[in-house]
Amino acid sequence: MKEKIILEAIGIKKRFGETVALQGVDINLYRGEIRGLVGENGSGKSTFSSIIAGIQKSFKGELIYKGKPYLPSNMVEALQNGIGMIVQEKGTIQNVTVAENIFLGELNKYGRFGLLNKKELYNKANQALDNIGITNIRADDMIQNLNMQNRKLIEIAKVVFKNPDILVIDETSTALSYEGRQILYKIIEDFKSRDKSVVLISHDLDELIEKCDTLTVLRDGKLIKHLNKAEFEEDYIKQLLVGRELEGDYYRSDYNHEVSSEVVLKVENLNKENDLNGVNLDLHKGEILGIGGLSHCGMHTLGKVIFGFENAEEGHVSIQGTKIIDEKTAMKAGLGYVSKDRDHEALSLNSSIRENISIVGLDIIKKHNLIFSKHEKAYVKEQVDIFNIKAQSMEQYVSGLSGGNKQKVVFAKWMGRNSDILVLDCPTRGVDIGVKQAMYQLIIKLKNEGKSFILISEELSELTGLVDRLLIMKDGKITKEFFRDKELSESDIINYMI
Amino acid sequence: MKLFQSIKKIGIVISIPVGVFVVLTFLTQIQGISLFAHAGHVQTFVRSTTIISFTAWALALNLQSGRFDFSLGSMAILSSIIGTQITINYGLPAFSLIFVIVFISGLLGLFSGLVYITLKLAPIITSVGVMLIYEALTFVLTDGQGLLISTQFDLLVLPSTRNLLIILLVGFAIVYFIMNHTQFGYNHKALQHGQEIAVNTGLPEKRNAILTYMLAGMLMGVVGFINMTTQGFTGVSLNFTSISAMFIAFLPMFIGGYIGRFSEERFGIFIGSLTMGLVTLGFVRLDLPRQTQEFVNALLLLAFLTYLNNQGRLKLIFAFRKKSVNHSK
Amino acid sequence: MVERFTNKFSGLKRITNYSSWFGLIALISIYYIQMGESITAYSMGIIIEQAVIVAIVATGAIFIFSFGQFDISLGAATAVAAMVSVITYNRTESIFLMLLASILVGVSIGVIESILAVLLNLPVFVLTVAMLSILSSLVRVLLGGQSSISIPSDAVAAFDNVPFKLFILICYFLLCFFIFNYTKVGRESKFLGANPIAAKQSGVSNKKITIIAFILVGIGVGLAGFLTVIRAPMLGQTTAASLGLDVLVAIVFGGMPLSGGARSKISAAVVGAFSIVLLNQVLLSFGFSSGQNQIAKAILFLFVVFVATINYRKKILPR
Repeated sequence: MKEKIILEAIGIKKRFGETVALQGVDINLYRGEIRGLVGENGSGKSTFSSIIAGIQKSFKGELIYKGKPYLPSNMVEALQNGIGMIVQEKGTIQNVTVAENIFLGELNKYGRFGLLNKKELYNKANQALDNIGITNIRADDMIQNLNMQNRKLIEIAKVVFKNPDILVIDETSTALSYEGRQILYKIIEDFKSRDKSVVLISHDLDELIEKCDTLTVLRDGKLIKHLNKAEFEEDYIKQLLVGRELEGDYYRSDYNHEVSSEVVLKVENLNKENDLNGVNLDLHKGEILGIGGLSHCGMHTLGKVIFGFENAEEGHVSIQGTKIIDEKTAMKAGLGYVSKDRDHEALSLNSSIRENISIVGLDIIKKHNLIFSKHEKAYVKEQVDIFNIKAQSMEQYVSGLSGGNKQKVVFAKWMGRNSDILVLDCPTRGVDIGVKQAMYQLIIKLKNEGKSFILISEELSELTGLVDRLLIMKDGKITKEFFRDKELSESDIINYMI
Repeated sequence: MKLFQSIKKIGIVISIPVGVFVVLTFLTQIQGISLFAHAGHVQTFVRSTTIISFTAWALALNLQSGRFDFSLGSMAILSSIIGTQITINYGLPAFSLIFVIVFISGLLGLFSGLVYITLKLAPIITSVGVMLIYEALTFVLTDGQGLLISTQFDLLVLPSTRNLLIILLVGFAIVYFIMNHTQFGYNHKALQHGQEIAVNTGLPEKRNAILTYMLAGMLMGVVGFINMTTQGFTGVSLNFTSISAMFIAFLPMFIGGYIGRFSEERFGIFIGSLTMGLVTLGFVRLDLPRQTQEFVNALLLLAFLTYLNNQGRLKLIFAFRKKSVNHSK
Repeated sequence: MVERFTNKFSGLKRITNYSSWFGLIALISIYYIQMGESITAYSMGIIIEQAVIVAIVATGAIFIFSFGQFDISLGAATAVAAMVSVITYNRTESIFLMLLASILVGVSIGVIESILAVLLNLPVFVLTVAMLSILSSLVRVLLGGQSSISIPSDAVAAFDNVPFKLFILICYFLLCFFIFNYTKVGRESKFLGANPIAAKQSGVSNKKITIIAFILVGIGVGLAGFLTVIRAPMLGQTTAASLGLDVLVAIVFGGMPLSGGARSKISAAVVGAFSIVLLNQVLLSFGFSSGQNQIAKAILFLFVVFVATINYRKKILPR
C-alpha cells in the first residue's frame, strides 16, 4: 500500500440536538485502501460517512482532502470533487426515469437556459449502466418498475460513473443478492487496483474481515481503534464494539428441537400478489419458528399478514380456530407483532414511553371502562422494571431513547398484555450486541414459559442460534425446512435462499 | 400489441369526456333542447373549461407535492382587483389587463411561497394564514365594496370565445413545456416523489417551492382575469369563502391524475376540465339552481375519489370474481 | 437521523405549555386597559356569550385535530344547524324540539361525514372541503330566497342569559374532557394522531375513532347552533360566517398542536375561545374593520403556530 493520505479527518464533532453523534473522530484514509467502518447503531459511522459525502453540513472539526480543506455543501458537490456515497436507505426516486435518477441534481449539464436535452441524457445514463455491466436496465425505464436490488444497482452505477477517488458504501450489501454483491465486490477491487479508496460500512463482520485492508471501530461517537489486517479477529472486534467482554450465553445453548405437538397458529395457503405464493405453516406452543430468506422473499409481508396488518388475497391465518382478519382479532387471540420498521411502525416516537406501552394494554388497565392515571402508571412501571428500560421517566418521549431501549419498549408493550404468540420481524435490527444478547435470552426465557415466536430475520446466525425450526422462503414460497441442529451451517441454508 | 395498447390508452383518455357528453346530450334531448344551441353556449363551455383548467393546473402543482394551498382562490380574487385598478387608474391598454393581473398574482404567489419557506410550517397552515390575509385585503382595498367595472366596455369584451381559446392553448403549451422540458419541471418531479433524497443530493428545494407557488399564483391570475372581465364585478370575500373557487378543480385534477397514467398529466387535467366544462354547460342548459350544481359537483367529486381510493380493492373484487368463475368451470 | 430534544428544551417546553394562558392574561390586560371604565356586566356578558359558542365547537373539534385531521366545515355546519332549529321552532313552537333538531342536524352532518370517509376510504380533510361547499349551498336552500329567517325574540328570552349558556358549555366540556382523558377512545385518538401506522399495529381502529369524534363534534355543533339562535334570533347568509375561522384560530391560540398527537389537550379549546373573543373585542376597540380584523388574526395565527413549533425544524420543508 502506498502510504499516501487522500482524506484526513481531524477532530470531527457532530450533534443532533442533544444527541452527540460524533465526539472528535480522527481518521486518515489512504489511496488504494479499502477501509472498513464498524460500530453498533448510534456509534456514528453513518454520521461520519454522511459528513464526508456532503449530506450533513454543520459539524465541528476539519476535513482535508487531497491536501486542501474540504467542505462540500451537498452530495452532488462532493461527488464532483471525487467523493461518492451509496447510501444505506432508499437512494432512488420513484416515478421518474433511471436516467433522471442517475443525473439527479446535475440536469443543468444536459441542456441550456433551463431546457433539457433528453437524448444526450439517456445516452449518458446507458453508458453509466454499461460501465458496471448492467445491460438489463435501460435509461428510460421507470424506477418503480425495478426491484429493490436493481434500484440499488442504479445508485451504484450513478456514483461509479463519476469515477470518484473515494467510494463510500453504507450498508449496501444487505440490500443485494448474490449477483448484486458480486458486482459490488468487483467494483471495490477495481477501485483498489486503480489506487482509489473505498470506505465500506457494514454490520456483517465476515464481509468486512474478508474485503477490507483496515478496520476502524467506532463506539458512541468515539474512535476506539484502528485495526490492520493482521489484527482482524472476530471475537476481538466484537469485544471492541461492545466495550466489554460478553458474559454468559449469546444464543441458545441447547440443541433440542422437540416442541409441544399443540398447534397454536395455523397459516393456510396464503397468496398475495408479488409477495406470497401459497404459504402454509404451523406454529407450536413454546416453539421458536424462524423464517429466513433474502430481503424480498416475502417473509416480511408474511409477518404482516399473520398479524392482520395486511390482507392476503387468498388463504387465511387462524389461532385455535379463530380467523385473523385484522390487528384487533389478532390481538384478541393473543398475538403481538414487532415490526421491522421500529421508528415508523412499532413505536410512536413523539409519544411517551407510558403511552407507547399502555396503548395495547388499555383493556387491562381500565376499571369500569375508565382509564385512571394511577392504574396506567402502575401497569407501565411494572413493564419498565421488568425490561429494565433506561429512561429519565416513563413520561420521556421514545424518540430520545437508544435503539435497544426503544426495542425494549416494543417488547414491553406486547408482554404487558401477556401475548402468547409474538411475530418478530428483524427484532435486533440496529441494536447493540449487548442488548441483542439480552433480547435473545429474553426470547429463550419466554419460550421456556410456553410463549411461541415467529422470528423473521435477515441474519442467519441469529436464526440458527435461536430457532427450533427454520423455514427458508424464496419468491413467496417456503422452499426448505431445517430443524435445530448443531451441524446446521449457514452455507447449507444460503443455497436455498438464492 | 403495441398498437392495441395505444388504442386502449386513447380510448381511456377520451372515454370520460365523450361519456359525459353523451349523457348530457341525452338529458337535454329529453327536455327538448340541445346542449349547444347558440354561440353563447359555446362561449360558456370554453370559458368554464378555461377557468377550470387553469385552476386545476395550479391546484395540482402544489397538491401533488403534498402541499395543500388554500390561498389559490384568494389569489385570483385579489390579483384581479389590484390588477384591474392599476390598469384603469394608469389608463393602460385593455389587452394588457391580463398581463398586469398575472404579474400581480405571480407576486402574490411569490409571497405565499416565501411565507412557507421562511416559517417552515406545514403548507396547509401557512396557506390558511396567507389566504386569510389576501381575503381580508380584498375587503380593505375596496372598503368592503368589491370592484365594479361594468362601465369599462373595452375590458368587458376581452373574454370572447376566440380570446379564451387562445388563452387556453397558450396556457397549456406553457405549462406543458415547463413541466416536461425544463430543469424546473424535472426537479419538481424529483422533489415530489423523493423529497429527502433530492434535497440530500443537492436539488434546490426552496427555490423550486417558491417558483411553484409563483407559477400557481400566475395561473390563478388568469382565472381572476376571466372572472373579472366576464362578470364585470368582483366581490370581497372573507371567512374562507374564497376556498370555493378551487373546489370545482378537484374533480378535474383527480381525473387528470388518473388519465395522466395513460398520457401526459397536464393534458389529463385539461381533459378533466373539458369534462367539467361540459357539466357546467349542462347545468346551465338544464337550468339547475346554483345549490344543486354545487351539490352535484360535490357528489361527482366524492364518487370519483371513491373510485380512485378503492381501485385496488375494486380490482381485487373483480379478480376474485374471475377466479371463482374459473373454479366453477 | 431522528431529531431529539430532551433536557435542554424541557424548561422551554414547560413555558410553551402555559404560554396560551399567558396569552389569555395578556389579552385580558389589554382589553382592560383599552376599555377601562366602560367595562360593564353587560359587556362581560357579551364576551362570555360569544366565547361560549366558539368554545363549544372548538372543544368538539379538538377530537378531530387530536388524531391529525383538519375540519374546515364546522362554521357552515353550525349555520345549518341554527337554520334548521329556527325552522323547527316556527313549525312546532317548542324550544325542546328546536334544541333536539339542532343537535340532530349537527350529529347527522358528523355521521354523514365520518361514515362517508370511513366507508369510501376517503381522507377526512377532502371530505370537509366538499362538505363546506355543500353546507354553504344548504344555507341558501334553507333561507329559501329570503335574506333572513327568524323566530320571535321573546320565544327564547328565558334562555338568553349567561348562566344558562355557561351551564351548557360546562356540561359539554365535561363530557368531552372525560371522554378525552379517561376513556380508551380518547387515548387512542391521541396515539392515532402521533403515529397512524403504529396505532393501527396496536389495534387502534381509525374508523371507530373517526366516527366517534365526528359524532361528538356534531353534538357540539348542534348546541352551538341552538345558542346562536338564542343570541340572535334572526339568521341570514352571514350567520356563523366567521365561526369556522374563529374555531381554528382558537384551537391554535389555546396551545393545541395542529398535527394532533401526544400534546393534544382539550383545555386549549376554552382558553383559545376566550382569547379569540377578547382579541376580536380589542381589535374592535381599535376601530378595525372586519377586513383588518381578519388580517390581524391571520398574522397572529401564523405567529403562534410558528412559535409553538419552533423546536421541530427539519432540514427538508414540511408537507
